[in-house]
Amino acid sequence: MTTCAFSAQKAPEHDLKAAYIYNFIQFTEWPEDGLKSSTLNVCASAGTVLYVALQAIVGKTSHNRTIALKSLQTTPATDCNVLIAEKSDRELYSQIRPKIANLPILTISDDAELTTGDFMITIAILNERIRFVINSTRALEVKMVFSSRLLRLAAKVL
Amino acid sequence: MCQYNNKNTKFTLQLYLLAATATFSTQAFTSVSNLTELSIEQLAGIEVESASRYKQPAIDAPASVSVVDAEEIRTFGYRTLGDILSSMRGIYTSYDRYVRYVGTRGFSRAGDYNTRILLLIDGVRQNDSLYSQAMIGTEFPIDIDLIARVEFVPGAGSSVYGSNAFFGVINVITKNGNDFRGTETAAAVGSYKTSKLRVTHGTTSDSGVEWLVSGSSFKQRGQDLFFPAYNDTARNLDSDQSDSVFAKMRTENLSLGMMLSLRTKDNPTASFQQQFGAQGSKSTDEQAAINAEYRKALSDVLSLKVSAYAQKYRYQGDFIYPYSGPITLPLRTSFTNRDQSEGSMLGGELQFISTHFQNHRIVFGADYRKDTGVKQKNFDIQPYVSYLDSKVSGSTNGFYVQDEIALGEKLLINAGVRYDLISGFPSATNPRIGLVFKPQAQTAIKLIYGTAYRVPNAYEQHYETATAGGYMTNSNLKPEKIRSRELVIEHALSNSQRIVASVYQNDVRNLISQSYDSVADRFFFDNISGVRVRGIEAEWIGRLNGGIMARLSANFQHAEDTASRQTIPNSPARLFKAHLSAPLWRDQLRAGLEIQGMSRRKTDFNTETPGFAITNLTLRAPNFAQNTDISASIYNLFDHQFADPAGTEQAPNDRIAQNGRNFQLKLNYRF
Repeated sequence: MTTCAFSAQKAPEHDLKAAYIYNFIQFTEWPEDGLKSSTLNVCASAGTVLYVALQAIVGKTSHNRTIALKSLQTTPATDCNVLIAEKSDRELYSQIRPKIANLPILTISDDAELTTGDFMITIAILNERIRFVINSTRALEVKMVFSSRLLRLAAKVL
Repeated sequence: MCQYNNKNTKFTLQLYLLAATATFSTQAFTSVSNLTELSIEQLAGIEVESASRYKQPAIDAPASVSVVDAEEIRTFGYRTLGDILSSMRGIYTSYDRYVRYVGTRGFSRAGDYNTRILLLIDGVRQNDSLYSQAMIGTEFPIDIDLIARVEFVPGAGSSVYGSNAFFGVINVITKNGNDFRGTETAAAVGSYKTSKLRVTHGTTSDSGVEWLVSGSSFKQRGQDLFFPAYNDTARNLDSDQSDSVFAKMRTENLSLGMMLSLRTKDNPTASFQQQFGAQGSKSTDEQAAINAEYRKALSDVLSLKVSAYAQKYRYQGDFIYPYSGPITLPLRTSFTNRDQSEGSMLGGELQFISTHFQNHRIVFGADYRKDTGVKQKNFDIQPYVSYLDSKVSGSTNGFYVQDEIALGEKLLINAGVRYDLISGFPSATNPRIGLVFKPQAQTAIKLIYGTAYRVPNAYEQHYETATAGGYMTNSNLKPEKIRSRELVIEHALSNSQRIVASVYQNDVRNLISQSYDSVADRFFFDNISGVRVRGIEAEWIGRLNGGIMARLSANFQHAEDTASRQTIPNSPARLFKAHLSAPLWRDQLRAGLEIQGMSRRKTDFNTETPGFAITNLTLRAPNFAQNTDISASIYNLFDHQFADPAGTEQAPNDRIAQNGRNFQLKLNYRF
């Protein structure tokens, strides 16, 4: 709740992105057998500011699973349920990409210059606000669906 | 014959507010765990704090600023800007059934039309060119649902804002197209046959252009009110109606805004010796305003803001008096005296913010404001007799500079001064200096000194009626002045708890008050009194486990007339406020409980209104049904009887009774 005299109308970029990512997870439907482990694994590049910010959502529950944060460098991409790519991950991502193309993994790009075609959600900042583009066509290919509430807030839906 | 009220003008800018408070958000309170508890729609309303922007955590601001945001407005069921303000520490309001008055730190003059507070909407001056009135009740020109947050900076603010920033500055920041993204309607019903409807449409394009258009209509039949001084009830004389339109466009560099509002209030109090209970006694306030602002970073260390605005204000007041002239057919028992006034103001501002010098952040700029066609008329309608027909104009040029100097990690100096050239009055120079000392990261000690002034408004300067008991002008009338000093301690007890405590002293000189010349049998305005206020205030804010938010504040103060050493009217020695908000059932139902109390107040009639505590309760179901947010509020839950002191124009009423238990049911629907 922001019910406080000193509540936030502005927030640090990465904290805000982490909160968005948490919401993305909640508004995504995985196919029936899409979530295999007892934890919901969020993979991102360890050591980045965003990775630190994402620790705030570790332990929260979504889709009846506890959210866990995994390092993209050390976790097999196929174990990820959510995969977040930043600018610094371009090279790593090009290696991962073929392995996960047909898996129900929520792919999120925090790098507006990475081709949006590859990612289900691309985050960008415009006018000091977080904006995001949803590629629901890409998601449908692996039987993933976004709720209408999320689609309505998207800057663009492909 | 009769006179009426008063209200004035001068211009402004906004800036250390923008620097100090927009940035407010940066503070320690915005922890990530809080962000993850927000809905995605709420997240959409939060701006990214960009690293390049100059950051000034609240704890560094040279003031003890209070902020209330949209979430709190809904949680506590606030209906007017006055409700929001009176939830803040040190502030109280009173209502005379026409206008809501704001009191800060022990000073509130019934009948002064809030001319001693500067009201900004998105940084643009609202105090009009006739009465320099800050409208905070149902007369406030925009719908409360369109407010993103309200900030209040107590203390002398003339070093940046010029005239009227006397006891403090209220800045109302409105929502943008992005906060709506589609169409939203709100409907509310309440006691006293109240109904309200709002339709808002907001959009953002891919290129980042935001649009917001909103229209609102409010109607209240009101009550049949009993007045002990007349031992009679005023029937059908409390109706309140307002309609408003608001539009706003925003891109990265440019903002454009437009406001229209019309408010009509019947007057049941028979102020200015009217005939009690007579139908037709009413006042209308009308406003139209446009503004534009352009911001651009000229380089990494220099940014520019250019803004311009125009406002037209019109007032009409009908006053009903017993008829005692020659007998006519049909028989007449009363006649109407009308006050009619209007004025336009045009202004512009140029402001630079430079961080060229290391450890310095320098803000400097100039602004210009012109008041034109400031007309005041007073006449009897039938038979037509004119008592006043005045037309004046005036202008103000202001120049200001402010430097914020970081002396190491622990000490910050914020010093500013503004010079105003005012037509018809001597020039004014007003400084403000703040020292912020941070012995440790979670503690700040602030010492603040400033002066401010207020130019007499057009009403005080030019209202003149050549009748027995009428008004005459005073060519010696001078601006009034204030010197404010404050020591503030802010301390974060933990990530989730914070305290603010402050000791303050305000010294007002040449206070403009109404006087009476018994030889001429005329009232006039003169700089006759001085007031000294000393007080302490403290506030504790906590976010507790399980989504509970609590806020407690108290003020102890003494405000006395410097000549008579008597406590001034409408000044409570003690104020107390408690706010508690808690989830009752998951995210589905939330309660907001508010208690506001104050000690007894002296009236202008040497009587006292007793102290009281009022409890308000709001229950809100933010996800009542799909896209539907519903809330129910009970105000004055225990039906406590209380009254506000009346201004002298309300004689023989020494007090005005306030509302008993009343309710509101409100529904928001997003398409």
